[in-house]
Amino acid sequence: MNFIQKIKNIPKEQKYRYLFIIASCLLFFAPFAFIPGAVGNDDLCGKMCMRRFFLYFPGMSQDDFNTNISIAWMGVILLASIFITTFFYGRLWCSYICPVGGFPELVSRSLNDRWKIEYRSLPQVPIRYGYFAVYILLMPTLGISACTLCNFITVPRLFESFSGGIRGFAFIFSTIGLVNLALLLLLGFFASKGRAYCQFLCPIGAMDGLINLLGAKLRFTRRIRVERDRCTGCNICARNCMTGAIKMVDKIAVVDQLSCMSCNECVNVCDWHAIDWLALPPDNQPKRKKKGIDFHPLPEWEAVHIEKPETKGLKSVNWQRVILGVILGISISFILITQVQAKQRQTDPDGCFACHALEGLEYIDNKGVLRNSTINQQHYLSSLHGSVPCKDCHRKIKDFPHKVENGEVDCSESCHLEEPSEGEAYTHKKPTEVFEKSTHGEGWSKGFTGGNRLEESEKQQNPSCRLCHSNSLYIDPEKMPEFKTAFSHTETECGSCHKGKTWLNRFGGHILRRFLSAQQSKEDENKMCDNCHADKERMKKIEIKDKETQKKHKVDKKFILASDSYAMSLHGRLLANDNEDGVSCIDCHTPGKEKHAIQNHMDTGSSTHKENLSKTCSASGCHQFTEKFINSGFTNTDMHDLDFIPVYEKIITSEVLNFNTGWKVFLVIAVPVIILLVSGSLIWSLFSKQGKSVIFSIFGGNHFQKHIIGRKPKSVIKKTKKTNKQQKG
Amino acid sequence: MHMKYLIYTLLLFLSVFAVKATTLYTQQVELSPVNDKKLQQAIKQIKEHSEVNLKDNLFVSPFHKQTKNQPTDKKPLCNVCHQKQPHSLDKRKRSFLNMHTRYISCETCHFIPKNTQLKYKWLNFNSDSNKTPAKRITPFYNDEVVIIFSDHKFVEKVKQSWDKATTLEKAKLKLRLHTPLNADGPECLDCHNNKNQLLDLESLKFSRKDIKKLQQHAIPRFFSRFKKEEQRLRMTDLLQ
Repeated sequence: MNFIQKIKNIPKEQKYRYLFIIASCLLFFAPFAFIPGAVGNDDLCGKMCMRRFFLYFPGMSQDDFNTNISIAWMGVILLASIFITTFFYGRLWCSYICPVGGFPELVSRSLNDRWKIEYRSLPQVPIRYGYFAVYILLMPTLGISACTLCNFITVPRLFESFSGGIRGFAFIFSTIGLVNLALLLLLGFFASKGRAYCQFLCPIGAMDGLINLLGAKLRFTRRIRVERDRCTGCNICARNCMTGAIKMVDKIAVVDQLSCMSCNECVNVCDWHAIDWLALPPDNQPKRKKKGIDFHPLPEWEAVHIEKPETKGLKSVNWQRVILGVILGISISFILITQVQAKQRQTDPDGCFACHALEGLEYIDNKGVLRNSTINQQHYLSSLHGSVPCKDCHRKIKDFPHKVENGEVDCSESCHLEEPSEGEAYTHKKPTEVFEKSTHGEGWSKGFTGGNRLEESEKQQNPSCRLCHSNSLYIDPEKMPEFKTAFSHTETECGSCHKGKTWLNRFGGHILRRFLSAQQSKEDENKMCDNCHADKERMKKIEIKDKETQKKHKVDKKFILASDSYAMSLHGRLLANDNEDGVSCIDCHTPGKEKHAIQNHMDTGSSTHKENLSKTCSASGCHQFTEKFINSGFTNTDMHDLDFIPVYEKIITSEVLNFNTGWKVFLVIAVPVIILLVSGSLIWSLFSKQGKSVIFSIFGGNHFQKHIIGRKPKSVIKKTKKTNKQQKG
Repeated sequence: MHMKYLIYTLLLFLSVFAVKATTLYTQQVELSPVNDKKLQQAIKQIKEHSEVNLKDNLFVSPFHKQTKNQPTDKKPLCNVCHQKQPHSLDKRKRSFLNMHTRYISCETCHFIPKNTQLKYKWLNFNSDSNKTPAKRITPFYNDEVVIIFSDHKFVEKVKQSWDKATTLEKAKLKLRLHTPLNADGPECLDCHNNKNQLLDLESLKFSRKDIKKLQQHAIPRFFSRFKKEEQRLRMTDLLQ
């Protein structure tokens, strides 16, 4: 009964406000989530996030900010409309609509006051703006996600978990979820009036408060205003104010417009009509006046009370202003310092692009190679090496104008960038070492200049680093659609914490590229191999060094036609039909290993060595049975079986004809058999009687004749002949 | 059938109308005297000349992404023999000079006859209107283009006589073709300076901002600091 009585005691206007909040909980939160659903969202995060697009990242540019806005465009629109209504009507969003602040308030109001903590006595304005500055400036810099203390995740997830959503449960029982739940309980449910989170931590509230204060100074805006002449100083409004925005100064209520939410509760409880939510009447002049005496003076409503302390000394200092000033000063200097520091991080510290960005910087060297010294700056900066300064690779260049040959590059060198997880300098040393031990190991990994491309193209049989790797963009334009689907996911998932174009370009792009290339289609992988191995003229010239004898020998036909014979195998044909169950070159030649480590099949360490084949074939769950000894015969299957290749291909490569294939066996066995059969039948025909020929019954002949041809077997015929004779006889 | 011949004959006339018979350059070639000393030099050059085939699109592609120069469909006389990247002697400047060939025709720098006032205008080297225009600064004399393209009668005549010619005749022809030209073009600072540029940039419709940029460009001034080929600058020197 006490509860019903309590509800009855609620002022009528406040009941409507609570209904508003309940309705917006239904509109915004699971299980219905009508409003987020209307824009294709299922919560208030992602594109509806209102709380993080304005975060400051050191060195962020206008572009980064624009990107943030474009990611959370719904949130931006929502926030803008909140600000506009706030400017004209006070913080109606916070008090009447915001379900995230409203829900804890309702819960708190329904709980017994005995359990509650009183926060309204704390100096809320300095705390709020101090935290706001930390939230906007320091947390992104320190890499703390803005979402860690966000009620806009916690409250919707709480609803979600109670409506049976598994994601809600998962979030609530994560570390961040539990921390947020604690915040919700301490600053919400068990806070007096339940608005402590709004008072201290909500960034939207902090900005909204500033707009509220700004608008309060104008006459035409609706605000909670006090008529100082009517106020009796009874304190009832201050006691009921849920945000603690009303203070008694000299026994007169003063509204702090930075904190006031225009919830109108003070209006409802004031017995003297000394406080109201209104715009100032257009004409404030009393209508009847006599010698400066007002008859029926109209009330002078005040939204912002300007305190004029009369005492001198330290007490006369408005400490709130000092603290806010310090916060503002520190924030501005923080932005300035970080911006200046960020600008020092130049993309081209050595000024190479002063010349090399010029278009058409070409010459023809004495060997006739067209040398193009122009580096497409835009391409370079968005490429994999975009953050590596030129000098890190072109180490010999120390002075201007540099000698052409000093441009030499060694891929195994380390550069001055640090790999974030290990803190070590980036280097391609490990893959280079692996590569050097591989069958391609004689390929170049250092001494690269633009000019020696000619020598490499014409004389080198092994691939160098640069033959397969050019300075490619993070994302190949062809892969852009694939990337975009992955990327849109990133924007909402990774991107909700890691903001900024710089991040998206560098790390997001980098990481995603790794993901994508890990999912690189097998066909793409094969294309890389085929770049050389499908070129038969090129393959013909290759000589392989025997590891034991150190002698070089020309490659055999099987090597030259490897690409063709692979294409005819089931592995290749499946891939050709876009069936990812097919197997690429790399799948067998370096299964699960460093891709640079391809070995000759004669090397004992090679995955295609006889001894290792059973392991290779069973790798990644393909032919697992091969690991059993009894099935090891399976590994005799020739994956580069030349017998599948059309004959004319073989004739092309006949100059290195080696009959080491099944054809040889075929000829040795089949030809004599055919000759025997043909000549035998000819000879037989000479001596046999003319007449009906009967199929030889060598083995199972009777059964065959009887059941398949439908002719009576010879023996039966003989028998029937006998019986016929007997019958006749 | 008749139609076909009619079109051919019309086309023949068209080409005659389109190509002016003489320009300032061809006139000067006809008039140019044959200097004996220079002739010997030309003979030597022709004898020592070895053809270098342009090697582009190598099997090993360049590491950095490179944008190809868009080909123009009009081929100037110079490019009949010279490559599109003609400068190769001065190792330091060659790339920068070759860069200018995208914006400036050869004759602008190498054909500066005495006592003749030339005007400079932009000329589109692409006759195909579908292609993006490739405009280059080109000398004009009496509102006529000084330079000639490979479809000019003069070029065909030169080509024919070159194929038949002996070494001596080739040398003479080469000498005559090059006599009106200056082997050494202007220095960087002759154009990239504040006062007396060779080209009137304003009449070439450069914006004031661009003019200032061209006049005060860092690279020409940087080159002007070098007297010797082997001279190098440490990075720390630049900062001082």
